[in-house]
Amino acid sequence: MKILQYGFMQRAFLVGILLAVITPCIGITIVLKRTSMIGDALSHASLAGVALGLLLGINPVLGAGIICIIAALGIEGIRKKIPRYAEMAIAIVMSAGIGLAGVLSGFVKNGANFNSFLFGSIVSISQGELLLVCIVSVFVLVMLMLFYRELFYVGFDENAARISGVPVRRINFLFTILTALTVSIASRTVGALIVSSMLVVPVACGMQLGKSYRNTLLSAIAVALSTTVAGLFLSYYTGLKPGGTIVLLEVACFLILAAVKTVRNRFDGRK
Amino acid sequence: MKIVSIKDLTFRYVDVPVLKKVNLDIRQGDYAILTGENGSGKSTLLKVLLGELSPQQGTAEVFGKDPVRGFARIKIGYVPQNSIYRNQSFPATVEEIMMTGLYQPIWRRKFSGKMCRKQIMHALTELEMEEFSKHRIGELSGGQQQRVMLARALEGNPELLILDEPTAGMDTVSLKSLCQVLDRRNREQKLTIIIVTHGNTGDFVGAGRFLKAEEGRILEL
Repeated sequence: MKILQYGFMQRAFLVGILLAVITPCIGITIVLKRTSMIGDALSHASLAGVALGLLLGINPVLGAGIICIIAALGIEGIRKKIPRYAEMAIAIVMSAGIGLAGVLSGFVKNGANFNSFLFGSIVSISQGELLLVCIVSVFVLVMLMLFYRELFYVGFDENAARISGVPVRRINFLFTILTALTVSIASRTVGALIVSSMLVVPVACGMQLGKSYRNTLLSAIAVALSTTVAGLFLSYYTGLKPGGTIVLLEVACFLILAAVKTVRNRFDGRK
Repeated sequence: MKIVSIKDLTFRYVDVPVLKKVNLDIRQGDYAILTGENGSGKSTLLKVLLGELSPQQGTAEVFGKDPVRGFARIKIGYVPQNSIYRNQSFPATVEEIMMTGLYQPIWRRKFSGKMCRKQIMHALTELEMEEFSKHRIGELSGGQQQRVMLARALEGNPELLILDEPTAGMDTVSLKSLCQVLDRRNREQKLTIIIVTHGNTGDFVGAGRFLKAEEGRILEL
């Protein structure tokens, strides 16, 4: 296949596949903890990190990662102060992030470089960025596998988890760091405006398919993998933006699965 | 042996006193029912015992430790009040939720999958829920879900069992099953039980202590 002969497409597929595996793993906990907008807040904040990185002459992905971690910790901190309106923490941090990004972007000389982080450029990943994505992805995946049970328990019932001896604060802190790392590497590849969709939509698809938590997660990964690969093929042959194409395929997948489930439920009801 | 020891406990929400100089000891093997009107302080007392709230005055100890510091290495079974509502849309099977009742930190994890499944099925059988192990939790009725949550609380052989409004949404069959299991565990294994309820205290066969929360005080009936 000619598409796979090109180095940039090989890197794009590898990065896409790695992200397709880790984003649903992060996304399922985000969705079950009912903090689906956190991906948006962190990805918008990552733009501030990108702008800061470009201004200071450091790797913008590194800048995005640092700001993402600060933003994620900020969300946790604000949430503890106003637990009754915890979702406001996400809005506050998102506002701060996008405001800072807006101001700093005005000082960035190479606007095209900054704009590439909005919708990503998975097909222009360098070898260095590929290595960074690989390292971060493997680290995130290993951590998620090690703490699978803790994250499940915290997603199910945080209070009961604490009573059972789960170190909830430490697990939440770890999960915050993993989310920030995932969002920062995904921002570079699929774009800051698209990352949160990749965290949430495959999980929504998985919930239409899976009968158990494990199957929901595996289904979400399968959907993310297939739409990522299909999206990259489609974008190569049609010239469409890869990040947007992948997300539209995911949304289409969700709509089809939801429709099939509705029809099936009605049919079973009539029986 | 004292499982719960509360001395001169006072708790206020801002300036409103909810618990006033409460003194209460729960000993091993006690089966206590705590009742009270809304706003009488029973939910607040429970939250203090579970470490969710810290009292402004006085002390509360569970197994000799401050519950706010956590319950590592202490076996407490807990069935929360709103578990049914929360369970409706959670994408997990009964078996997966039961696994959370056997939680051990990663450095102490020694149970094999086979042994876990054996313990899970034993606990579900005790509550007559073994045939539902592969069902999604949201597919069960309210009473069935409460039985699963109780099975989860019991499977790790806790030393203290705390139930918050366990009869809410329960059908007669489920209620009977729950009360029989609690009575048997209390008699045979000296399980210490604390139940907070609005319901009929007469349902809980075998209960030996009846407490009432009234205007911030805990009275023994």
